[in-house]
Amino acid sequence: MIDPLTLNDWHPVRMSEQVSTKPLKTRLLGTDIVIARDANGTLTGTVLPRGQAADECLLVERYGFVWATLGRPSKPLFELPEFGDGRGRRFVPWGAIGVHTSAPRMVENFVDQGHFAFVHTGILGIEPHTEIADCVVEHDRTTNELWAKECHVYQPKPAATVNEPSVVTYRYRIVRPWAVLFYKSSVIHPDLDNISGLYVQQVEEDLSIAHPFAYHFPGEKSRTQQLHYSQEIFGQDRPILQSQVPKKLPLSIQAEKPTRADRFSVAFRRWLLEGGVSYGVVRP
Amino acid sequence: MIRLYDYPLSGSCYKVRLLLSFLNIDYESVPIDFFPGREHRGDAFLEINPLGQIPVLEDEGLRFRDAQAILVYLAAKYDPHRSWYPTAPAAMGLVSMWLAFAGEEIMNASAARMHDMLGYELDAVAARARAERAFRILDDHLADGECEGRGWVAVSEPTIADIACFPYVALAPEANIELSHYPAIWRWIFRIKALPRFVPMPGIFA
Repeated sequence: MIDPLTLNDWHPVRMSEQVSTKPLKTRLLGTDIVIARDANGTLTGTVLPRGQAADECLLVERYGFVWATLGRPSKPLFELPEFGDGRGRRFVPWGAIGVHTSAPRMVENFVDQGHFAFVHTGILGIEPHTEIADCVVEHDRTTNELWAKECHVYQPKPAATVNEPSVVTYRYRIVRPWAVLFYKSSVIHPDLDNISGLYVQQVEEDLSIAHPFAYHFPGEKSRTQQLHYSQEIFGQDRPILQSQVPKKLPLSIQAEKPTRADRFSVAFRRWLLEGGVSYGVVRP
Repeated sequence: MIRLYDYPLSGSCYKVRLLLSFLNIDYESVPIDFFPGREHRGDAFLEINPLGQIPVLEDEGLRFRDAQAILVYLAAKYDPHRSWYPTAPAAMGLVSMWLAFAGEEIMNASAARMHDMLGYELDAVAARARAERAFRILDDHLADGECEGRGWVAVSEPTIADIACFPYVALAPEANIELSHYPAIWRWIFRIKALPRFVPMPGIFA
């Protein structure tokens, strides 16, 4: 059973540049779909097997990705005004990466700073700098997005372009149970943020395809150097994510013991619970 | 300086990085956009390696492809003790035998990982079955070795055969293969991780 919020919303299915006139089969929310472009470049989506009552799958193209829905969305995709604003950030998608876990597990890991020193040792964190600052957690009722602001953390190598350690500040933004962004202070442009994001294609409740990307000021680094910096980090997360049990995120606060540093995680679980999300989670 | 055409998530490139670290050799890493850019199949890289594979290593005007061949070259040239690639005829034969095993049978685990992780279209069930068959052979061999006082794949000291076999065995959980079924492999992995100058890669923790 797919909850209405999940069904009637947009989900990432592919990097834009990979969708051509050659039909491409993929899977979303337990349903096979085929996406392609016609000769004019217009996107077409079909639900398999063909001939069902509603066999058209609506698609939109935004922020470098193609998004699909199996339902009837009542609102547009979230806003990301920085995308394509001409300030000089470079969009680098990391590729579609299969991860055997649920989307909410991946989103929760993406916003967790507690694992930096242990999983991304020497890059995003290092012992003894394991203390996590108390972020300011806000629920934006207008957009129904969840924010954590003023998250300060000591990082040995905060960006591909930076080799000196520094304390950096993150703002995390959960826009959907399967889509999350962070804004991280840039060393090159102290007044502007680097942006990273993770859009998760929910193949099944416990099987995902991650579509992560960086939208950073490149400095002197090549696109490939920037990509490898990011892929190394994601490659470190993947085995941890796959080992988490259960694969669906438990929403009962008692199920896993949160510490003070997990305030945002607790807020995320409550947001899912109160939002009526049931796909990819275990409701109490 | 030695140049390595490299990709951080490649277990084959990691074989070379591991030996370079064990031998304490500086090198220049040339990053290749293996995924999603498929740079290794582009015209420019096919000039470097017509097989379209990484790693490739360049040193003193020479160019080598194939991780196992690179290990042989580096160990023969830069290990003054020749412990990583021993010169006794029996040892050379055994090391070569397990290098071939690493380049063939164990690569089925790599194929299954490419399917699960990077979406490669191949028969992952068959690849996993072939990988598990290879793992049983390796596990039996290592278990026999423990009885005979040999903790390593080829001889009584770690060699490039251990380095060649190690990455895709240790990455097996990424290919949805349960390593706890192979207790002798499990112990061997910990022996490798305990070697001086061991370095991790994404998916293999120190």
